[in-house]
Amino acid sequence: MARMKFLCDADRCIECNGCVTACKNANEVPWGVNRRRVVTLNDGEPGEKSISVACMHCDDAPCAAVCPTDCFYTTTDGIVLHDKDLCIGCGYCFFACPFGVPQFPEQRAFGSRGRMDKCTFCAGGPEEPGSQAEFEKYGANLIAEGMLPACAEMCATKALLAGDGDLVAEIFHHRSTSRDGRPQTWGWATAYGAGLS
Amino acid sequence: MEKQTRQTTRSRKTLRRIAAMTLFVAVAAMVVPLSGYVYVAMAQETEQAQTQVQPWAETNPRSDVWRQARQATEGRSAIRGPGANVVMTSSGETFRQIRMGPLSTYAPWYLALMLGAVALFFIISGGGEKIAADSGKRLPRWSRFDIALHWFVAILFLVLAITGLSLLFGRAVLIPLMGPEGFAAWALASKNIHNYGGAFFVVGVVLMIVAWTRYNIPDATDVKWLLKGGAFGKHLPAGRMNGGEKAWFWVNVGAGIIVCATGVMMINPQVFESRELFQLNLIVHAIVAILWLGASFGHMYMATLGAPGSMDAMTKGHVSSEWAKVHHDLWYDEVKDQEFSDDQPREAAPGGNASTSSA
Ligand code: SF4
Ligand code: SF4
Repeated sequence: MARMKFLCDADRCIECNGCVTACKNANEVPWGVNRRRVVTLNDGEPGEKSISVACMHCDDAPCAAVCPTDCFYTTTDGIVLHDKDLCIGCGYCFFACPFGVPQFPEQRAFGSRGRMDKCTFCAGGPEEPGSQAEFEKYGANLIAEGMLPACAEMCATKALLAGDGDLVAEIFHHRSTSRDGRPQTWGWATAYGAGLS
Repeated sequence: MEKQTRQTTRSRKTLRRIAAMTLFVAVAAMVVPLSGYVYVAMAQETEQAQTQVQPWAETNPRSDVWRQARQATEGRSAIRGPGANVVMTSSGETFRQIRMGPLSTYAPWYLALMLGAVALFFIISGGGEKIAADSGKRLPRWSRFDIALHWFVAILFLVLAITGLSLLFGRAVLIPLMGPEGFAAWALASKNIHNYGGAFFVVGVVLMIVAWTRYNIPDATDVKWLLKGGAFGKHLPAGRMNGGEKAWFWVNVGAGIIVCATGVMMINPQVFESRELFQLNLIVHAIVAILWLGASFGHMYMATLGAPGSMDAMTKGHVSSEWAKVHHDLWYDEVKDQEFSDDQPREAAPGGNASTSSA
């Protein structure tokens, strides 16, 4: 089975927020909830780079580890999903997730947040695939239709890649080794010195 | 002949010139590379002087951006929300490891140990001495307000303990028993009871601190009581409250303030500027609350099996004179003029304002 992965190529991302929009549209995410976001580092300075972030579908997911009701599960494709019927909206997953992914539709008195919502890799949730109930709770199930997540499909510069981890890695490997300029591999300068480009 | 000499002289001059040039080139070839040292030395000096980064000392911006992302550097995002402008932080994993590691491992052991210690103490000591109350004489100890406050806080304490522990350990203990759906319903109820009940609990704890601090100012008698083993069943001189009761009161004040403050902040999550503070808050809340719960087992034991007759104080509001003489002799001497007889109607007893008159 494929192991699904997202990868954002920071050298290509132009912060158009097309992925964010595609996600909101495909999944009809409520107001205030964003399953994906683009973060720009060094905004307006030389070396400015943008990175699109959503759920990374962790192997050993911190969100799943802290959930009091144990409502997360990982599909055979390595996609981390959760069951909104079991979620109690405690917010622990948001505090545990390194990427700040879990989102809550409410902000009310006594810390009432509503049930958690997060990126599903466009794979729906624990309902009949393609059903209305699934769409209302979790959004589109493009994976069941043999498609890939809407965000990556939308990406105009092909910065955001989604799909089988091996394939994504191969594409990125090809890009990063054939791109001119200094090697972009993280840690290259530390290991070999930045002069050795 | 003369011509020949002139020619020779000229070729010698040429030779000399060639030799000189060769020498110059050779010396230059040896010296020029050494200038590299001068250049490096100069470059280092310039670098030190102007802290200017040389082209090759500059780091790779392509690596740097991922390093920044990894180190939770704040950027800018069109999406608003707590932490939305940060790519990733490690603190969530730390929170997960503490909550699912030491907290989940040691807390049950601690609670079991405290229960075990109380049980063991009961088995060894056979419980506290039962004091016969033959005279029928009673002494007012707590007012109705005090009794109501005590049970208000005590019941909420237990409710909050049960719901709080359900949220922390329910996944391991209750899901196998209730099934995922059953437990999810209980967990949702627990969360709401814990959040709303907590607000009332805070009021109770604050009232308790205000109402009872004056009885619990420690003095030399209490130190002696504690040091000589009053808590282990020895009857030592004690005033209205003995050293153990005062210690328990101050445990309530300390733990109460910490647990209530962290709790109030958590039901108002907007007070936290960062996720890190919330994570820390949640861990502190859980640890202190569990320590407090363990300590409360000691209080429950003393009120029931550890010192029979004590429960009257918090149910009826008055205690037998014999009990007072044994457990609180100094207090007995102070208030023995308020003694009343068991068969007198409760209204006639001066117990209504006991707490103020007996302070
Ligand atoms: S929500 Fe966060 S912790 Fe959970 S799988 Fe996604 S990225 Fe990992
Ligand atoms: S908010 Fe829901 S999914 Fe997240 S930890 Fe709490 S119960 Fe689990």
